[in-house]
Amino acid sequence: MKNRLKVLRAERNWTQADLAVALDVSRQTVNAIETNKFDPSLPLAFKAARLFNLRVEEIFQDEVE
Amino acid sequence: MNTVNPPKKTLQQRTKYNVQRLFIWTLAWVASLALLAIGPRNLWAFEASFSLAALALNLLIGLKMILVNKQHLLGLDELQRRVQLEAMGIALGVGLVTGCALEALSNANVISFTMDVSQLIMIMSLVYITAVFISIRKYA
Repeated sequence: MKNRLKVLRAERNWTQADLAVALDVSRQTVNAIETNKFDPSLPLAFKAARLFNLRVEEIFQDEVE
Repeated sequence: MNTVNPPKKTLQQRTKYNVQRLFIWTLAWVASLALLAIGPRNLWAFEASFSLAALALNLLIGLKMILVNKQHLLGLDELQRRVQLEAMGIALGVGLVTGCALEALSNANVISFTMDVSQLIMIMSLVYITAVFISIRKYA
């Protein structure tokens, strides 16, 4: 699953640590999601969507065609 | 920055608190196990009632340690929980397979020694630590 977390974070000048605090996860988890090594759960994806005022599908995209 | 129902404690604070509690209860459990192991011979001359009391204390502290460990795991974030789950799964599997294989070999007189529980725990602990380390590297 691809995501735009890194871009959205950069647009707001947030560090991975800032985003981690906002989402109540570790910085390592933010990094793992941004580098597509770990897919977040649905609740965490919705939490990110609420944080950025976007829809989940505007942040996370399924890679299956 | 927008906030999404900010938790009362941050993940870091929660984890630190839970790890400290787990450390204290694990220490208490080890101490109660030591009391159960050396008490009968050195402290109360094999008096059964004292041994049963020490056993009850050990089991109660052990139960609390398990509950505190569960709380610690629930306090982690989802990636940390996955790392722990993978490591515990591998450690449990290695312990089960190694224990059963060595027991079978011992029963078949292929090997002359029998594995002690403490040796099995040591193997499982080493496998668990290694698996946690590898998982952390994998997701880093």
